[in-house]
Amino acid sequence: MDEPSQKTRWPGWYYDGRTARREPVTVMIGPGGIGLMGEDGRVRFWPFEELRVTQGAFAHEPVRLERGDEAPEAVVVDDRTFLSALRAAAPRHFGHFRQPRQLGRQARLAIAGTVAILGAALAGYLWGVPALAAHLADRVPLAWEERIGEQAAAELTAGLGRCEHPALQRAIEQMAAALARASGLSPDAFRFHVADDSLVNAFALPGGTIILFRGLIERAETPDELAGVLAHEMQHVALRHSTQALLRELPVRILIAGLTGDAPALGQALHAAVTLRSLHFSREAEREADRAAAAMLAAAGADPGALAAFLARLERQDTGVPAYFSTHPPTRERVTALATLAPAADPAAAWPSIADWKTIRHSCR
Amino acid sequence: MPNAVHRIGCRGRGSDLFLLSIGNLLRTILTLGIYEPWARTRVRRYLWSAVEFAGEPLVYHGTGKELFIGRIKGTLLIWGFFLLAAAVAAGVALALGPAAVESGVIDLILWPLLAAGFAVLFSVAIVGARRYRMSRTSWRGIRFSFRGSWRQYLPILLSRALVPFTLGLAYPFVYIRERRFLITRTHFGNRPFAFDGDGRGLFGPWLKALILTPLTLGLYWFWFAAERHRYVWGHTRFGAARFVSTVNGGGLLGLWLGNLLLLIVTLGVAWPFVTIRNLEFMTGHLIVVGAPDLDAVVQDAQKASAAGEGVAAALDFDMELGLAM
Repeated sequence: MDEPSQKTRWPGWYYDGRTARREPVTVMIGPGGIGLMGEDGRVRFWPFEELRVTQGAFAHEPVRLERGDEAPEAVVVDDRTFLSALRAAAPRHFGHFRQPRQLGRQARLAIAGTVAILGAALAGYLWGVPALAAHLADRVPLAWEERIGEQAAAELTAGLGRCEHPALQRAIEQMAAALARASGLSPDAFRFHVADDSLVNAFALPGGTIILFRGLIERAETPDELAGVLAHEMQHVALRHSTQALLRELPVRILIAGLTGDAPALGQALHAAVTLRSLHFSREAEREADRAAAAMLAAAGADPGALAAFLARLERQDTGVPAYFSTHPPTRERVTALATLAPAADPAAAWPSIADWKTIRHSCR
Repeated sequence: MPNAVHRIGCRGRGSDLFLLSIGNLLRTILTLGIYEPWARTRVRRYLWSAVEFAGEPLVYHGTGKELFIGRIKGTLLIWGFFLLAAAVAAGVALALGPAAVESGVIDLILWPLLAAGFAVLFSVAIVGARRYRMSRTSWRGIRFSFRGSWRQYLPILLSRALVPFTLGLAYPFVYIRERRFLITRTHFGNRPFAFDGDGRGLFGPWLKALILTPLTLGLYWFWFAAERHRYVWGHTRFGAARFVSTVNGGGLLGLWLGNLLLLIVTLGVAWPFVTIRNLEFMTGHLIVVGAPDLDAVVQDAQKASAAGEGVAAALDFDMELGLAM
């Protein structure tokens, strides 16, 4: 027992792979393989290269060799010195316990297939879903958009308190009506809420509801600057960006909830997507809204450059990133783009009725 | 020797499994998780061969590659299901309009659809995992197999969901129905296991458990679980051989408390030791009475893909040892 190298025969059991019977054999190691001698003296010869070690790696296991693919024959030797002798006799085959590894055709196919499917899924997410959303957004009934927008507005401004000062509301609505008419839109398609909060922010909801925060209004030094923001947000509505964002978000959120295996989250995701807790416009949508807003402002006789100036000033003055920019393209880029679009105009001529803007903008206090 | 008694042995050691698990953990981290199916396979090889009957261990024949491919298939299946659900949800929302979304009509349509989808996924996972594991298990060179299908399991799963509506009274019947399905569809070679248990046999103990478990602050549950375990094994047969389990409530409680203590004190590091303790407990209390009639057993291996196993892994439920039941 202490001299395993001198041992040449090991008692073992032979299994034919067809029945549960076992047959006692004596196992011998030869030059090209092992021999199994049965009690009747018959010897089976198994070449090394046809053998697999399926047990014997762990200390508690007997040594088990298998031969053949479907219903393999096997020999089991309890004495673990057999394995060291086997390794000494055929280091090439039994140098390590594991089966020889090779990347089969199936595995390569599976890897290629996985890469292809992941690629297709990524492409679908990056291009397919937005394209589909843009396509569908034009087909969503207006009534539906309006109701969802109102619901979302109610939810978003619920904790904020609404500022309903008549002079300010009138000024905003006059401006919006002039802008809408100048580019052939119906003024009735838009509704404006002023939220009583110092946040410098504004956003557009599906169906034409636009939420302006008091903070943003107070920072606008001329009516033209607010008109720029209004035109930008109105274009998001007119171009149906909000509805597109909603449609883009809905399936993705459901998918994410599904992948995390969180069944209750599915319902929440559905709700969150529908109530638009977070609306992100793409950079492309922002550029599109900027371009259309500049045309709208020019048509109404306002100064398209004021929006650019407003954005630039907000960025200069604020130490942190204001909320209005957090999902937008870099301001510098937008300012440059807006400047090239903006023809020079007479800033005094545009809003004759809003003479006392400096007072009106602080009317929420 | 018709009443010869065979014990089932456990030769695993917690320390060995611990070393193995550390190697697995390192490799899994280094490969960003890709190694996980191979790690799982190594653990199973260890555990399977630790269980020994009549001087011969079980052999696990699964490979990491199979499990890896199965996991990809399972994940794709689940993604497909959720993509479908998302498409249906978006379609229904568009078709019915905002009123349906607000009033909750849409939930009435979507939830049953989702529930049905989940029921199918769970059935595929439970049955698929068992099919795969059994087909990769052998003893004396003869493969086990599980020949039930997920379609047969689906009604059992649904009846499980209905148990609360019977105030729990249907539980023993549903439980035994599930066990019968799992046991009698399991084959060793060409011969099935047999089960002659009946829900009525477990009804008395169940009523007792319903009353005593709250009164004993839950402690009685261990005695019920032990009785249930004994009942199921006591009615399981293979050929002329039958099984006897000697698990008792006190032992089960001790095992559970010990495991809990080990896991808490070591912050979960003792998991391999706990696994071996469980295995030792279950095998140590299992006896085979009578000759299993092995001469009549003929190899009859069944094919089984690891896809169902992959679904089970992706849904994150796992009953690692189909052996201990």
